[in-house]
Amino acid sequence: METFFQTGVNGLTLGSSYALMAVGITLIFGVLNIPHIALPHVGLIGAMVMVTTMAVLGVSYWVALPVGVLVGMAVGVLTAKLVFGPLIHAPPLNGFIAAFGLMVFVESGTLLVWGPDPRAVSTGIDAVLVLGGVHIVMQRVVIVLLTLVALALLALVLRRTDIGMAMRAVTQDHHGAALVGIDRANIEMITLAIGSGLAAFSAGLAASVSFANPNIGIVLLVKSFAVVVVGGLGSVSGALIAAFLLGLIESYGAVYGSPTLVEFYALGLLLGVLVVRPRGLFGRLESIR
Amino acid sequence: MEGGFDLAIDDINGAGGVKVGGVSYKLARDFCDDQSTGTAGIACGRRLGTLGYPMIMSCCSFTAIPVEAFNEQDKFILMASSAVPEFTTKGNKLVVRLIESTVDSVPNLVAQSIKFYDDKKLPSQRAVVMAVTASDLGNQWAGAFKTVWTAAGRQVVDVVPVDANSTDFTAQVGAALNKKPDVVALTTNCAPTGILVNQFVEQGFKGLFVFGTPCTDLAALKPLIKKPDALTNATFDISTWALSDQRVDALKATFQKRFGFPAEWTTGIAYDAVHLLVRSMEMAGTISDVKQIRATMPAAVKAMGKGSIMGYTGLDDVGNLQMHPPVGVYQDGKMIAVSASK
Repeated sequence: METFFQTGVNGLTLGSSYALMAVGITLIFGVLNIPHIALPHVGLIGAMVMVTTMAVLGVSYWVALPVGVLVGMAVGVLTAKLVFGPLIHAPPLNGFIAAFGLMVFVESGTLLVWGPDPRAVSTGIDAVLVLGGVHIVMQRVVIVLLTLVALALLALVLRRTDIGMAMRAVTQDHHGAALVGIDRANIEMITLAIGSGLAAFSAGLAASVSFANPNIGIVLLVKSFAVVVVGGLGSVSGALIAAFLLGLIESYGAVYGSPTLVEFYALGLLLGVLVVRPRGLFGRLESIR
Repeated sequence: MEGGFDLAIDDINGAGGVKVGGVSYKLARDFCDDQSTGTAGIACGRRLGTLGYPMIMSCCSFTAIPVEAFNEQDKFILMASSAVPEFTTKGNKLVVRLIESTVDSVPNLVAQSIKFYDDKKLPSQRAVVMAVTASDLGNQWAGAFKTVWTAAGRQVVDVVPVDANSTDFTAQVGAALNKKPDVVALTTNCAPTGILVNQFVEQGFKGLFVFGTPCTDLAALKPLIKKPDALTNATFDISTWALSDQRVDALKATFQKRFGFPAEWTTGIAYDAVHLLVRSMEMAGTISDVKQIRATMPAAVKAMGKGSIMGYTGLDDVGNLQMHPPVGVYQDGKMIAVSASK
């Protein structure tokens, strides 16, 4: 029983590490109709800035993390102005190609600036709570809580603010949104800023239990995209549920199935859902334009 | 590796260059990013090979094995830090292995580890779980370890494959701990090794670690470990690079000063490889006849003597550089050797 609960805790913490990045990708897809495959790499810029801020200024992780998020958001604005903005009236395929180019550019650039070496960070929270034989790493609990808080704030913005309403309007029908006076370019820029900030937040949190490293963007991308497609492209709540689902499947699959197949589970889940329910668990047919 | 090359080239050119037949030649090097993949490695090998370089050094088995298919034809010596035994068993006359193969290193590591644990009267250390990278080297290492470990009457309870690029091994660690291991053996690069050690400890593992290649460099590993106590009862398959030595320390200091970040063991390998090549050229009296240069290498290794950073003592008939690396343990904040091998 102890193993069962430990595996469940492990799965939830794994899932939380997938959630934020996936939500960022699905949010951007909803508004821009572009699979932003460079988002994990943009997020890593924030994480690397966070690490550098800690090293250069000697500030704590908790001060540097918001700095990384702000830089991530700024990079999101830059990508809106320089990469996706000029393609606003182009077919989505053009945006996808631009995102691919951006991914290569950012990966090469971050490697050039920071090098390939992993950077460890300390948050000051290194306690491990043992409850009935189940080991709960407190930093991971903090990550789960911060993930939920960030997503609750996002939900609040999307549901309770004019900007959120405008973002949802553009997601549903950007022509209709334009007819009622919504500035699509501006909304796309805000969406990219929020999505990139979430990605930087996600990468910064992940660094606290592993490392910050410009090389890992592609790893984050594969899992995040599997989560996004399983949850349903454009569905924020779907991405959240799919992230935790994948974390639990990987964790239980490794213990009660085979650890050899851990990396396969994401793709297996992806293929299974695509066969049975092509629009994803919570996607709407009309959201796939 | 690049840094090791550059420091060796600085030394040699600073001392007048490569002296052959009364002429001094300045040494130069080229670079090609093989991305540690076979495809890119072949492209690099082809490109550099056609430029007429007498020696190409490869980082690892990923690229060394495919490049080995044409280095004799393209007339260049292929040196590689490959631990895969096959690298030197195909009859290729122009290969040089710069580190021990798993056939040599793993039995020594296992034997010395068991002796270390027994001497310290550490608790049960019979059941091992191995975290192994999905690569030729990882599989070779795991196979060699399993053979020796089970021959010693012990048990391998699980082998967990890990993706060297992954950032979270929570699921794999959970699965491994479910098998109740006494010992965890790791054969991963430094970043995944750091994550694995942290996650094993966080999930309650209190047993012993055995660190195989390639992350045995304490300077690279230690900053990544959250609880250094985890390293106290661990054994490391190390090279002389990991130990404090006047020449090694001087090279590390020069590297740090010039490049601004710490050297790793690959620096020492590259540094020695260049010196060995040049010594062989000078003794062979040619800078271009690669067969002659390679044939002179066993004598050149002997001539280097204690000048070798990695402690090379000879070169066998098939291209394995001989060395007697110790098994190390972490004690009082530094690495010490528990015994010499062989």
